[in-house]
Amino acid sequence: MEKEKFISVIKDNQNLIYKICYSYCSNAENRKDLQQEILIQLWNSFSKFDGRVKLSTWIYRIALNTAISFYRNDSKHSDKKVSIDASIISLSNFEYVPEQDENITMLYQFIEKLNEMDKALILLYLDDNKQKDIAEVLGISETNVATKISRIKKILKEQFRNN
Amino acid sequence: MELEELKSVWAQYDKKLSQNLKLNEELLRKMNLEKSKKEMNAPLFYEIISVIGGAIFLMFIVSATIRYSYELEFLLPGIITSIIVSIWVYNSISKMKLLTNIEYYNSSIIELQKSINTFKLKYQTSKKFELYSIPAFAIAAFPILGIAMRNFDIYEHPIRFIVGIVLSLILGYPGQIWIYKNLYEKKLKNATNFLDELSQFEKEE
Repeated sequence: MEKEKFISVIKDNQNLIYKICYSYCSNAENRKDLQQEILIQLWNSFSKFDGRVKLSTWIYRIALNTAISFYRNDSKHSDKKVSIDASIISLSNFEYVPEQDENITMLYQFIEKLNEMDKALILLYLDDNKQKDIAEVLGISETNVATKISRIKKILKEQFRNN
Repeated sequence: MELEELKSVWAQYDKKLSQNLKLNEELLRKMNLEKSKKEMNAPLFYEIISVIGGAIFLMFIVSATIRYSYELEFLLPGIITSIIVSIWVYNSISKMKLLTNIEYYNSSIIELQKSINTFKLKYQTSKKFELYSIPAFAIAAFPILGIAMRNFDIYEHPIRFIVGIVLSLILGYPGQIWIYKNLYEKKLKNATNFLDELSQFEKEE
């Protein structure tokens, strides 16, 4: 029963997980592993979710933390929990290929260049989270969030001007 | 393009993803998710075993040292061995404490990453001590363990003892240095650098 509830939560938030995996892993094989790792961590914490924070805030926190740890892990490919061949969350058909969307490709290229913490910040910002929520997920002040966003804006402007 | 414009491009992308993403429920059901809970506790389990094993060994060494305290040639190695093992046990207790303090599911990203990397830092530095102290431990423990466990006095066989010391020093130290440099040094540097990055990120700009 709990597993069914979990699957439905994942179904409702699969976009978020997909975007985080895509931003932290450019390699498709690693992306599959990261996706699996995020789902395992979400499942492990599922029973501990007490509703004190929004469900999406909770998912962001766990998914981003897992992605950062995965990215920083010194032996990321040696400790796969379960061996699976296919992606759990994938594009259902090829009617939409994000790589063909020029702006999205450029944006992902830009995100790829950022460090792990800035990546988390920009993803939360692009997903239209409020500054208060971003501050809560990251653990920094709202003023700091605002300052960092304006710094990233400047860099981004430069990058798009150069392209 | 401004970041605000990209936000609307991103929103459209999100909409397209909603229409095209598919969750493989069958695969998710098949994943042995319960198994991973046990695997998560493995480092803590390892430290608990190290503390218990280390404490038992320490008690044995201390009692043997007390038993032979009237002979300086056993007292001194006994004290050195006890100090080394005490530091090993202390390091394991510190790692255990750090591990149990990690709040995986209710911490902000900064908090969690800081605790994970503080643990990594502690792990790597205690590994360095463990590796570098193994040859000294072997040299010091041999006389006291020999006499306490098998009533074997190594000082009556000076050639064997000297060969043991020389081998520990010649093979042991370069070996431990090689292991540390190749397996742990980079990890220690990574953890230190990331902790610096996190502090930098936390600072108001």
